[in-house]
Amino acid sequence: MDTATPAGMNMMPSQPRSGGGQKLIVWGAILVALASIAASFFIIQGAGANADYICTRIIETESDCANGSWGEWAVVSETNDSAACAVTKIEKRVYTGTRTTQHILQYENLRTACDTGYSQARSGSGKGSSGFETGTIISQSAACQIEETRTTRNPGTSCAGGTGGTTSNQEITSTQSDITTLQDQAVEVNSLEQLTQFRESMIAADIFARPALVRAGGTTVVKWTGREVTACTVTGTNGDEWEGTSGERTSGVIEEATTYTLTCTAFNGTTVTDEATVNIIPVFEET
Amino acid sequence: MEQFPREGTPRYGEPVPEPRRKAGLLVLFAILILIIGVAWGLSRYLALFEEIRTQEDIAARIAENRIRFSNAFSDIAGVTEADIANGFWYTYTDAEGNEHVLYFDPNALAAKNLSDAEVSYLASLVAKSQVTNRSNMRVLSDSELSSNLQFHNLVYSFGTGGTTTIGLEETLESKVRSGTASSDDLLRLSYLYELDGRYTERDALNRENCERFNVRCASDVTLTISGRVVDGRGAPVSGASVAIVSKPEVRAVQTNADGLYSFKTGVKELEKLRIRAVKRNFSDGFANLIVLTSGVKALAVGDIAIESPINIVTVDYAEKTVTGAGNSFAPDGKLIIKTPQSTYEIPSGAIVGKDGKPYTKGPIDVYLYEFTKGNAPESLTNLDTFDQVLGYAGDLMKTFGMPYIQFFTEDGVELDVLKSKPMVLTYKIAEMEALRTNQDQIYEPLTEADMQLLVAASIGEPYKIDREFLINNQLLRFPAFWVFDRRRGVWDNVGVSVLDTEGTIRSIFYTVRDD
Repeated sequence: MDTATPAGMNMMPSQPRSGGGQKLIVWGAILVALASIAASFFIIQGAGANADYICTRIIETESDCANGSWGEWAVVSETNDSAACAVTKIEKRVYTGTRTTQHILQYENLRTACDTGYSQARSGSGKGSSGFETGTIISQSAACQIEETRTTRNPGTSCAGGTGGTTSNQEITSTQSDITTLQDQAVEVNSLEQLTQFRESMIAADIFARPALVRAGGTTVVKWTGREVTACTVTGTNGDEWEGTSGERTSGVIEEATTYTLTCTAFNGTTVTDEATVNIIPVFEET
Repeated sequence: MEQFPREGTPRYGEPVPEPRRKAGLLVLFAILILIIGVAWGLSRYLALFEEIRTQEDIAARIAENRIRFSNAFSDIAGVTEADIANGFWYTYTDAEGNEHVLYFDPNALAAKNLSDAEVSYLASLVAKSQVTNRSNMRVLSDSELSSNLQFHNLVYSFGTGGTTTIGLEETLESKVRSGTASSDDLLRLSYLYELDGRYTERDALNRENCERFNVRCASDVTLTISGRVVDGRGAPVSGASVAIVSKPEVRAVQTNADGLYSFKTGVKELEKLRIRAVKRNFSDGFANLIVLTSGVKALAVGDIAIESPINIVTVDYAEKTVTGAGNSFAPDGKLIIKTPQSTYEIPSGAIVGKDGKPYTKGPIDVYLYEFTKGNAPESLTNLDTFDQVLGYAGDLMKTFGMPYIQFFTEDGVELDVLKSKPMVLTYKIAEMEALRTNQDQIYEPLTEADMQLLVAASIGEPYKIDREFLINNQLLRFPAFWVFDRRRGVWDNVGVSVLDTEGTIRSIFYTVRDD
């Protein structure tokens, strides 16, 4: 069979239609492979071992400052809240002791920077070379100090409307002068008033559950107490409900996170509340 | 009309055109890369999932342990659930009345998987302690400490802050010489001297501080120090003489039948005490204490362990006799004593009494020890070291062999060999194999080439291989050699000559540094 090329047509050697497609497949495959390899490196992050540099790291823990002693309490501030008739005092004291530390001195020799947590070591005497010490772990006693703060709140002695405790004519006088300055507002000032103010400052409601972390289907013990209150109720989102100005009860079955709300009526008719939540142990916990 | 077959299509029997074969190879190659890449990625993903599962197990264990803590601490007054969950501080007062501030870290402790007994013990400790909410406590940073405490920490930083005790000492000594030293300068230099065992010079500086600034005149507190002396098996050693070498004015005491001893002495703030136990037929043992505050009333020292010698020889200089096979007097009067690893060459007149004069009044008993990695007592290894580069180099002693020697009169009085007239020790390093295999995983393995270099460097200049040499030549995989000063209670680095690649070294040797 003869073939004839139509005259006038510029016939190029026919390229297989799949040629360009094959190149695409090749490049695509290469790219996918490279992407897989690269992705695996990003996912598995190494510790970034600090190979090859002179670095030191001190290991310490936020604990155990021992073999020492506490200093004396020192008053940092003292404020008088005459409206609440209370004096708030903040004090601090310091414990001085020793803590064991470990110094890891690593000699590495090619990189140019230390990892986070390491700092560059150098010979301070100027006699040695720039690097020294390999992997030596030394334990020593470093000085440590821990500061404790405490806040105390006591009934004040300079309250609006007079003094607490027994009153004297003089105090009443100063109180009345205060009243005068308050545009002649007639306020009866006596010890009962001050006592009431103090009691009001003491109104509180506390509730807690132990344990606060249970398995689904478990129970907890709920304890509560009210101060300067006449009645309280405890309601849990799981349906538990109790009454009393204080108490301790074993809860019902807890299948999900449950909140117990304590609602108390104070002696002066105001309401004060508190809450405690019991959580369920998760199967997997993000840390 | 379509032409058939199309131009370019191979006919039967004709070879496949080149471009098509190349394309096929390329595709195969690409598929191969893809397979390898996917396999690699898959293996990494599987490893990741394994890691995730491990993390899940850990998290579950932590959660379980948190419940255990919650149950164990639930009845302790002052400990709330929030405290157990978030952590809290507790101050424990020990039997001596000292307070220790400890931190309950729930995460760290939950990860440790404590036994029931350990949790119970922890709870009992907390129950006896004063608990403080975490929000009320704060650890002060180093920069918030007093200047003297910062100085103390700087000394124990081993040069990582760029400052060595050599540098500190030079600066402070310059101030003292020029008369411009402040009270703090005098205190700090006295502390450095105390660290180095230069107690006489320390006392001189304290006297100057007292005279000029009315500081460091007297002790800040009376401290009761107690401890125990035991032997290598942990059995108590009675009749051991225990002294505070850093306070020679304090009378030595003897351990009782239970190996116990106790001192009551005045100490100053920022003072390091060195306690030594010695008994005939045993090596020396030391323990260190640091006093930072005046509020401490009593401190307990860890057990001081002392070991028995491997050999005892008796030397009589008058008769020129020495017991033991292989031991002898050389024609020049030098005494030569040998052990399996060591040869001691002791010049005539080198063994001296406390007065520094040669002992000639009778026979001398020589106690010989050869400690190795397995039996070196911590009461000798966990002590302070000094070298030419850092000055104070910390307690970094990891022994690869420790020859040790003591001298006593017949009556048990200690004798010494001073650095100014030293012995010469030839010693074959006991743990060369551990160095060659890098058993401790501290440095790289010691190689034959390293040893050849050290041998070559030792020719012509004796005792050249010291810490400075090893640091400059990055050869810390070869152990530096330290000599122990029995009076100061510290180790000093001395140079050695390396005689062969088997690890035989030679060095001066002494028991007291008098320079």
